[in-house]
Amino acid sequence: MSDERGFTVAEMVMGIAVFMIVLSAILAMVEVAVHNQDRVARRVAANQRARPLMTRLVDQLHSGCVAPAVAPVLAGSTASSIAFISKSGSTVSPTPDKYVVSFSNGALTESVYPATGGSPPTWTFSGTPSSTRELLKGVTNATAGSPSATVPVFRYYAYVGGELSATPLSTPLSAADAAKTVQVNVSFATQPATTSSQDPNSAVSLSDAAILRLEPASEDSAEVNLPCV
Amino acid sequence: MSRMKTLKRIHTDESGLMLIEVLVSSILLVVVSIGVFKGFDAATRSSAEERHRAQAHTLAEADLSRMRGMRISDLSNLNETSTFTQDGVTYTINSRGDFQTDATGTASCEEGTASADYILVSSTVTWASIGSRPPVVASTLVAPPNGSVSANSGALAIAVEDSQNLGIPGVTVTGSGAASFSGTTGPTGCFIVGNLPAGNYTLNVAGVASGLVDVNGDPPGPVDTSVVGESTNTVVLQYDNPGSVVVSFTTKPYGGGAVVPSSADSIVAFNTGMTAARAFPPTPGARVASITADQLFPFTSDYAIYAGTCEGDDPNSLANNPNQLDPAPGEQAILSALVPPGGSPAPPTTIQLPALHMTVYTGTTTGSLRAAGATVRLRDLNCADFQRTLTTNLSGQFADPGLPFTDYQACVHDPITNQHKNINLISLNDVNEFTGGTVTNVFMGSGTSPGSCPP
Repeated sequence: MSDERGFTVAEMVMGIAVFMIVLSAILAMVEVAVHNQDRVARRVAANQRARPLMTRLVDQLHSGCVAPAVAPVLAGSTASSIAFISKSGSTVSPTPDKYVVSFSNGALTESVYPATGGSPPTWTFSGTPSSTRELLKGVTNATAGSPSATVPVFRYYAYVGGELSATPLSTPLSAADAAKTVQVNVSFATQPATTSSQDPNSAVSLSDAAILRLEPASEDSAEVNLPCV
Repeated sequence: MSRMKTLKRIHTDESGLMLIEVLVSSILLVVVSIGVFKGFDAATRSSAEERHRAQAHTLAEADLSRMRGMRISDLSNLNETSTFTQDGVTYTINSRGDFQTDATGTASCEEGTASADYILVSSTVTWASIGSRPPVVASTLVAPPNGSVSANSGALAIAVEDSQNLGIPGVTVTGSGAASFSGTTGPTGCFIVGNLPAGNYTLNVAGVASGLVDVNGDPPGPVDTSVVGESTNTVVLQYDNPGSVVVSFTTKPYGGGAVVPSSADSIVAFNTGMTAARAFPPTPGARVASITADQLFPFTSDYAIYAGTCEGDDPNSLANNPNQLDPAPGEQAILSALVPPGGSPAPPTTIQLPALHMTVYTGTTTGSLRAAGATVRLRDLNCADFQRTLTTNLSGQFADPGLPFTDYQACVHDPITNQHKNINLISLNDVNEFTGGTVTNVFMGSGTSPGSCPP
């Protein structure tokens, strides 16, 4: 207590100035980190909402081979709407339902049409859906490739010369093309629930493919490798 | 004065102490902040990586699905890399297919009757920010279905291996014939060509290391094979570093006793993996004390090496009972030798030859003079009548009576009387025989014909 030295005003001003400079730098870093954290969290949340839907869609397509040599994808399917037959369960000879999944107005919706009759490989389906529901909101077309380009939601592929073609079939699918569709690619992007105006790249793109073949392609190039074989 | 001192002391104490304190505390603050932000950064990065990993998993599954729909011939030894860019992240997908067989549990493209063959397909997905973390790998098995080959076409599985049945990768095999094809062996040393029209094909091999030989000891050359409809023909091509064996000879001397060094003009080496036995040297020369059999493929089983010029001299086919092949202790009638890659078997590598203990007399009894300098022409009846000519010494005997196993036809010519005598069959089939036997004494005093031996 004998030392009664104090600080001069100059010392205080200098010290506070240095402290403020350091503090402002740290605050700037905090702001960036919090923004990034928020952005990643929103993208992860969007991804987590969309991925189960993608898995479900692909699983439904994989469940399309309800009988040998049926064509699960139906004629008339387009780049933004797919109609296919599918049925899950443990029945030996399942009677499939017709599913129509379409992308419009930024949402993916699913309509289920129950079978009214018929037998493998053709069934007849009710004209009115037994249920229609919205699968996912905030959906846009996915981008893929570098430079990134917009890709259709649904693309359909068939074998050409014994190998799976890299060029999608033209849409809407004709009856002939639908009968030989063995691969469906599904791609879409989803926006985070609360979009940030400063973040134009917040959409999360997802892409998957379902192969509708049960065994390897024939060694004979002339053979048309049909679905569900 | 004391006031001045006090002021001076205070002035001395003001030497920037506060500034240093602030600076030190700022540095501490920055260090702590960096640590905290690194933690933030790691958490953010981890979330992003999980998203990448989920997408990579989807890509791997889709790739597996794609490979399941491919042709078996395209799947075997598939090794292709593709990229897929999404949300600014480029994923690299490596797709592989490797033939496996249940019989051995190892990768192979050999079809065994008791094996279940299938293809292990795997997809490995990596991306730029993966760092040292493990890539996403998905794999499954594909079993070739029946009837995936059309009736008039089949498949050819080509395996290139060394003597230990280990695959040699990177060997290019081209085929021509009913159709043309080309392929390179994968990591397991094999590849499959599917959908080939049935017919005959000739395979040409390129890319085998120089100096390697095939099972017959020849450099890699064309190989003939065929394709049968609705089946897979497996062709195994083996190449390895050749080894060699230096063979010396012994035989029983006249009168019996311990074996003495002998000589031969040629030896034959054979292994069941070869298409035909091989003679060294290919054209027999003078009789020498040792002969080198080189360019021998290093089979994992023994070579049988014996004296002679062709397979007709094989002691096994000539001996009437096993005792005839039972040589003196420590000797062998047929040398069994395991030839290592690029090396030679451990000694001893000697062969005991059967001895032709022939004595030529000028008269009609063993009491008559012995014929010195008589020539004995021996025709090998089992090897295209290959001829050897031996000359008798002052005792009317051979300096070296050791000869290869075989059936001989002999003609003895005495140049002094210019008479010759034929002996139709001498069966030299017993490594131990040195007395008695077919011919021991030849009497030139009777039963001879004038002149030299006819050709």
